[in-house]
Amino acid sequence: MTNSQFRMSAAEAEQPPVVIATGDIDLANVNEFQDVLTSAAADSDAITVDLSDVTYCDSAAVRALFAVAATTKLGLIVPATGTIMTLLTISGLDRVATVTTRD
Amino acid sequence: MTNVPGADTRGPAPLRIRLPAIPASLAVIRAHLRSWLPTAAVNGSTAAELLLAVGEAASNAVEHAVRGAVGNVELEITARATDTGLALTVKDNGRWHARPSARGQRGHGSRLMRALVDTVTITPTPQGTTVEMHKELHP
Repeated sequence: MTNSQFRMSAAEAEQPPVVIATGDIDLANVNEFQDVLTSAAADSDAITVDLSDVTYCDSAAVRALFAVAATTKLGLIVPATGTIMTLLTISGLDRVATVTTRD
Repeated sequence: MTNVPGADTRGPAPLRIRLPAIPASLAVIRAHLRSWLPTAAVNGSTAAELLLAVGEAASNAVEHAVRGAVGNVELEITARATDTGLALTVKDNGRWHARPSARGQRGHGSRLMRALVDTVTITPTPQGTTVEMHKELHP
């Protein structure tokens, strides 16, 4: 089954795979998010996760991202303002991932 | 119609939701809050912060319910306007919180909640845990 809420973009040459997440991420679907992250990380020593279009996420998503950051170089694309930045700084995820903000 | 003492006709009707403490309830809670917060004149970034603060508290309760494998755990979410802002509560009737050592996850969650709202009071009892939060809107 394809999951359009979490998907890997087509790989570009020399670039790490990009996982694009959209919508709300919580305990109900965080395992699917984790699975997509894990399979993206399996093929590469670095991945980028684009959270620009995530409308809600909490500690559940942060834990999934910490788990993938333990074995893979993690880049995050996040909205410049909003609660995702708060989540990253409070959890310390911003210290283990490379964070790029998008307006 | 007569005026009820203490009632503020400009204020929003309080919100009260009771749901089973399961992951699928979290989206239902957000849907309720997303429609209730604008009735309290809360929008944009403040609404997003409150959604996360309540979501985090509810998520903690659901996780403990799942891990505790205890049936029939309920969540009760309330939101109401106060003189200076909003009061939000997340209450569960799970009984596994009796041991303080089992509350490690709440340490991280409560730090986040404290960054999002002005006061957070977490009261664990043998009957469950109540998280009370207050957000100042008219300081």
